[in-house]
Amino acid sequence: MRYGMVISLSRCIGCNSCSIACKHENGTGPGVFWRRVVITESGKYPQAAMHALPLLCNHCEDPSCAKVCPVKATQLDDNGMVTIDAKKCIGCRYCMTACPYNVRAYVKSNDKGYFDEGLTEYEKAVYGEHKVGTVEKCTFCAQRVEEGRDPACVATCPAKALFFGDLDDPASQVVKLLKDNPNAKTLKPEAGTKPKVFYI
Amino acid sequence: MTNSASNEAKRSTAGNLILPVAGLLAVIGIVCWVLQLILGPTVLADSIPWGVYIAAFFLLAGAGSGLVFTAAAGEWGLLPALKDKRRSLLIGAAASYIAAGFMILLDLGQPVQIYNFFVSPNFTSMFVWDFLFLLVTVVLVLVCFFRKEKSKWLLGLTAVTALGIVLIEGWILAVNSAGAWNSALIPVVFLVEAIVVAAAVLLVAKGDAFEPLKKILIGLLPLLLIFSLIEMFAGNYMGASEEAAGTKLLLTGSLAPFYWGWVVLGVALPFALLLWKGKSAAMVKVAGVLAVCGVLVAKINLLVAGQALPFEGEQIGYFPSIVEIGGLLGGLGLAVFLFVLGKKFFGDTPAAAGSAQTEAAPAKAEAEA
Amino acid sequence: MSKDSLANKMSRRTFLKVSAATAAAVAAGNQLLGGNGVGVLEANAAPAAEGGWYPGVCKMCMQGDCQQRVHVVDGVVVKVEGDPQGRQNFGALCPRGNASIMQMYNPWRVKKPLKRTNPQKGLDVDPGFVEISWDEALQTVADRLKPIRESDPRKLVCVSGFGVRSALLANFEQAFGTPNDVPSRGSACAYHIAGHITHQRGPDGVPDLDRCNYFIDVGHTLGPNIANASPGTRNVLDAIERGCKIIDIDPRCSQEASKYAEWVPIRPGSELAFFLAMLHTMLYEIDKLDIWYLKARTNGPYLIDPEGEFVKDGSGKPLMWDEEADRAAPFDTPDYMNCALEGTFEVDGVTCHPAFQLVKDQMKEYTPEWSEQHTTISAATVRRIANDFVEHAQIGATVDIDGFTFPLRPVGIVSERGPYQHTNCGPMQDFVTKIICQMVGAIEVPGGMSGCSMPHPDWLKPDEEGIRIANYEAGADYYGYPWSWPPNLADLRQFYPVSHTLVWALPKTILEPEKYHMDYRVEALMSCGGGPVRSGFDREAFEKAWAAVPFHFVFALTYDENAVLADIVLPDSSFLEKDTFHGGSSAPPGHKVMVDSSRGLNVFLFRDASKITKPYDSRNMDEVLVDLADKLDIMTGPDGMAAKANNSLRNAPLDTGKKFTLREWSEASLKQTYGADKRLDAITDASGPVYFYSTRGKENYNYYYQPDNQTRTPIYYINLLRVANKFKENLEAAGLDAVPGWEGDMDYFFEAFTPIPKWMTCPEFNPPAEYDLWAINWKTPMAPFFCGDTFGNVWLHETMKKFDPYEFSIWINTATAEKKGIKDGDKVCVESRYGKAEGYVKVTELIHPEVLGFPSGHGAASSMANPITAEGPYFNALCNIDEKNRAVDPLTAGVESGPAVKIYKV
Repeated sequence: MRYGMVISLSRCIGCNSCSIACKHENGTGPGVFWRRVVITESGKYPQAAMHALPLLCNHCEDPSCAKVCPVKATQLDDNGMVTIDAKKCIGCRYCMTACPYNVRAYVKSNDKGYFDEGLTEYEKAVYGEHKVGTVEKCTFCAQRVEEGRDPACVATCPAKALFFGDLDDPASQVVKLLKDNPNAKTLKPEAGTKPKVFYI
Repeated sequence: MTNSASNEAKRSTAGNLILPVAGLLAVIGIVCWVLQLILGPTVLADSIPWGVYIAAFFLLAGAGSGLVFTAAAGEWGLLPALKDKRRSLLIGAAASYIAAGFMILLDLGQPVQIYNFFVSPNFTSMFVWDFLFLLVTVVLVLVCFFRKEKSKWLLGLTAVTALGIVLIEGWILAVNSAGAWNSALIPVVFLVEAIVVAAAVLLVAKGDAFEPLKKILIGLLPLLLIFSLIEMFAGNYMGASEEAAGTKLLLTGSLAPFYWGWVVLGVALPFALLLWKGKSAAMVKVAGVLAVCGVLVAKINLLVAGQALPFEGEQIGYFPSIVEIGGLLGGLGLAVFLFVLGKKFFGDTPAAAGSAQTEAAPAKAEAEA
Repeated sequence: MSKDSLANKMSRRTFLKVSAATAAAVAAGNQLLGGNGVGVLEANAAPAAEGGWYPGVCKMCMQGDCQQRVHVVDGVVVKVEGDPQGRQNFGALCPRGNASIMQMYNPWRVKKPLKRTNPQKGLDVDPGFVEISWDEALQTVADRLKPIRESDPRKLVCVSGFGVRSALLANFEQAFGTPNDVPSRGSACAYHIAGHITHQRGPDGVPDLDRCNYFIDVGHTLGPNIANASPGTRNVLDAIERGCKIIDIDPRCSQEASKYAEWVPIRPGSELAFFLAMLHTMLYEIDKLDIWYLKARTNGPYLIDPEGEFVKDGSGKPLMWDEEADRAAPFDTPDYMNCALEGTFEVDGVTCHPAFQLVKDQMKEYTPEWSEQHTTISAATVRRIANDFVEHAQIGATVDIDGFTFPLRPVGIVSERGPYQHTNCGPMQDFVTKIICQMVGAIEVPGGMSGCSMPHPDWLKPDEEGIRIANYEAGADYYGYPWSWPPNLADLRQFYPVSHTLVWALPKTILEPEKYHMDYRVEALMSCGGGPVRSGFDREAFEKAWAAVPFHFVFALTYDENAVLADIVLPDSSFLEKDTFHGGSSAPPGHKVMVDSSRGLNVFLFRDASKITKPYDSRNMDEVLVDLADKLDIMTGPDGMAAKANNSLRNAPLDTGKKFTLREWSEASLKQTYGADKRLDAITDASGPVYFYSTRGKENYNYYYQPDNQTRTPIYYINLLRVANKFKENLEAAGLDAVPGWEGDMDYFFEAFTPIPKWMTCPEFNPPAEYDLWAINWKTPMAPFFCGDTFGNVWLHETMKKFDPYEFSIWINTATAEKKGIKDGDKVCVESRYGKAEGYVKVTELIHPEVLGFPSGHGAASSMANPITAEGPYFNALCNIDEKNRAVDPLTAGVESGPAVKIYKV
């Protein structure tokens, strides 16, 4: 089993719904985004176009973050997910500098919220799950995947541009999509990380 | 020299001030660390994972290794003028390494979990090797220092492990995929910087006394500039966009003041001062301070340039927070404080009576490393 | 509309309650993934409610019908997500829906009922609010309203907005006796009139994206830029994957347009010229029209006399000219195919022409070359698009759906907010798009254009003249909104008889009632939702007017401008913490498109919110209105609020002798719409929502109900002529020379009330030379509008700030920026003849060189709002609402929103 994601750039409308869904699914605090959408343009008027590139942890087959982690806190799991063990992480952030995609986040606090007057009831309920001084990132919503549900970003995508599944299962939609799209790309292949997030 | 007496007097006044000032800075650094432990790393500047703490760590570890090199060079007759400074140099090296360790402690988000270094070390991580080499080198330095028999072989071995530290720290960045770091030249740059810092520190300590060190600086400072140009040329020649963007950031972008500041104040000015025939001893010291600060800034520039352009048109700004600056000063102060303190107790003439107190420093060094 | 027939139709059908098993069957019918094939519904199927998940409906925008699931732990809402079973959103939520948690848990909300202590009112004046109890607050409101109601209930004006508009507001108003229900929305999107007259029951005109192959999208989004979790977004992408060619005509390029076949930038306010030239090309150069459609289903063959009226026979039937028989024939002749579209004829001594001939004559001068000077679009492009449009229309093609043969015309045009928001030329250009579609027969048939409301036998029903009865804003009787004198309404609807909404009129009638011939003054204002002070195009006028009303009470989520100017502030609950009732949809889930999977979809759900702890002392507005009605003694009896509610609850009326609860009312609504045997108890959190389709397949096309020549749509807009004539009579009878504010300019006022479109310009089209650019504004996915506290939402704000460099900026074309010496990130001032807006520039290739773009409605806030609300440039400051400046459209009452501007660095 190797979980992976296929992102259809021809469907992504750059709305960042996934970025915000990720926030409440994973209860991340101010300034922390485990995923984001980069908005750019290309071409000259009037042949110009706008583009959107969703970025998240690529759950690489050869993850540079795991390679540089001095204490094996970041590891590639059997199911293909790259995970971080908060009990091991010493917070050196070597993995953050090693990640070619800049999709890791450092937990600087779990008691600072969005508002000056202290944490809201919502913030009190969710921020505590994050261990200060450790590094976090997209988990492919392992808590949802365990229940047989898609990651929050995939489920919420208004354009249905995101697809999640087992890259080892020939019947899975991600495998079919990759078969139909032999030109599927990964990000920064030159980094040698072998991402499992594909762009079509 | 007619005014050598007054110089001597000034020096001793300055010398008297060094210990309390450095001690105060060290205390500030420790206060900052405690602040971080209480408040969490919120006080760290946003967005750039590695900032001044890591730059200072590289600087101090480099300084330590540079001082080991000079000690070995003295011992092996390459720099005869340093032959009798062996103990001072080793004290300086140990102080630098300990302060470097302090910077890493400052930098870690979960220092409590550092035991995982022993419980589950990952040998593909350069950090683990860096840690091991640091540990071994510090132990060797202390052995060299306290062994009755001077062994130039042992010191030579220490120089080799010290070299390992510098190269591994260069590789920490060089094996990384970030555009501005992904260069085989970085370990070499780190090595040159280590020697520059050591030479500059010695010049600051002893002024005009070590003529060869001036020559080393005069020779190596331009080399740093040349390395920088080589990096930029190689990065841009093939039009690699990330390198080009990084170069732009340094030359004309948000890092330009720091890059050009380094070129002018960290390289050109000390170079000119050292070459100038009419220079005074004070000017040599100024040149030394400038060169050390220059290397620190160069390291910060390198770190930030490698992280500021995360992805396709995105750009992240960096300026250290007050606490980070406090921690940085603390680390530098700690190095000086330990050195002065060490010299006071174990100076160049071995004080047999001091052996009782010698236990504390290495123990502390080990604990902190 | 006939509610009964719709209700009966529904009750005959079986309820479809979706379980994981049936979801799979539904997935087979959904086109979500186009060629990729696998149903998302199936993949995501999960029980509706387990461990603390409750159903709900998202109310972060005007669409307000995305099914939501809310996860509650210890009374705290910790997650929201689209209900995977919800067939309008299939588990999706837009960024706003996802950010709704931060709407609810927001310390900038109003936390307690408040009473003003400082009698002086102003946006920058501290109201001196003190907290009071709910009881005191409602008693105060009741004490103030009672004498007003006794003297003249019209003196109370209720201003409502999207998202928080109460379901019971209308019943409260009716019981109180005020006709003054003034929606704060709509001044910037008054784009319904041409559709409401021509073919649709709107509010929107939508393409049939299951079948459309060529679509022209003008200043409009098919989904991605508004309420983007609803079907439009997915279906437009499916259509593109299927090979549908979409042309975007817009001064700016969007994410959505970047996926289309082509972006054709156009000068703002010139869209009319483009369509006139397109129609010219079709009539004079291509000459490939759907003659059958024109003869059988339009008023094209109707003979028009020199006055512009239909030539009729003795029985009042409009006449056509039968060329075979060489005589006039009534419109319902079986020989309609013999009737002339062109020519000059004489009937009873009156020279007359078929309407088609007149339309064609009018188009003669509008060549593509002529249009180029106005639009900056080349003549060749106009010809190419016209040709492609006609080619793709497949005139003559048919399609069988469920055994019924339809014409198939897979082309469409939607022209919406962008081009519409110009005085006179705005609505006019849409009438041309409707004529263009009719020329190829692409109206209410598969592949073509439709209204977004659920299909219904009444929508195309003809009147005695054989022409489909206009509805909604167009008015059903050719006279628009009923005349009353002196004006009955505070929003001046009498003077704008076919308008959309007129909140801009309120400051005028509040401050100068005499000028508008009002015989009463507005003495009380009730605001709920909406933000006319910030969105009404004249902040100062609204501030002054709101401050001048003697008593103002508001239902407020946050301290917006309404709240700061109010006497009593009643904290409204966030929709996440409200008991939620949702029955059917005001419009079907596909607001921007029609597709079979969502066209006739109905849903009912009820969420009991008792398990959700309210963070502040807020209440559900519906319940508060009931309490208020009770305190005012307008709850019970034959004219009470319960009785008024019963007008739409005839199958299951409420007890008019007592106060009703929201649950009772919801239960009655359920029985009314879904059958008397239905019980609210059965619709539990665990069972989840109930879905069913009222129409599927062939029933989704209004053509099915009036096929062949059983109805006609107008290419000759006699409605406009008749409305204008009647209106002129009414003005004269009242002794008025002009509509107040339009003195001396009545020719321009009536210019667009013309049965045949012609070239006309808005007041911004030929400005003084120094105003060398135009400013435009559009909706963005994260911030399409104010409702739901968009601009104060910290998650939306943070995401926009961090990841969208285009959002909080003023767009300028690279070449224009160079010419003006302006660089990316420069601070600039944009100035129109009416106001200024400051902001930071985004230099981009994505906008017309003559245009400055202002995304979204940023840049204004009350003094007590979260300061993030005020960030960004404030577009509305560049516009105005003065009739003297021709700033409001006489036809739609939309506000001119394409001001001529200049730009300079500051």
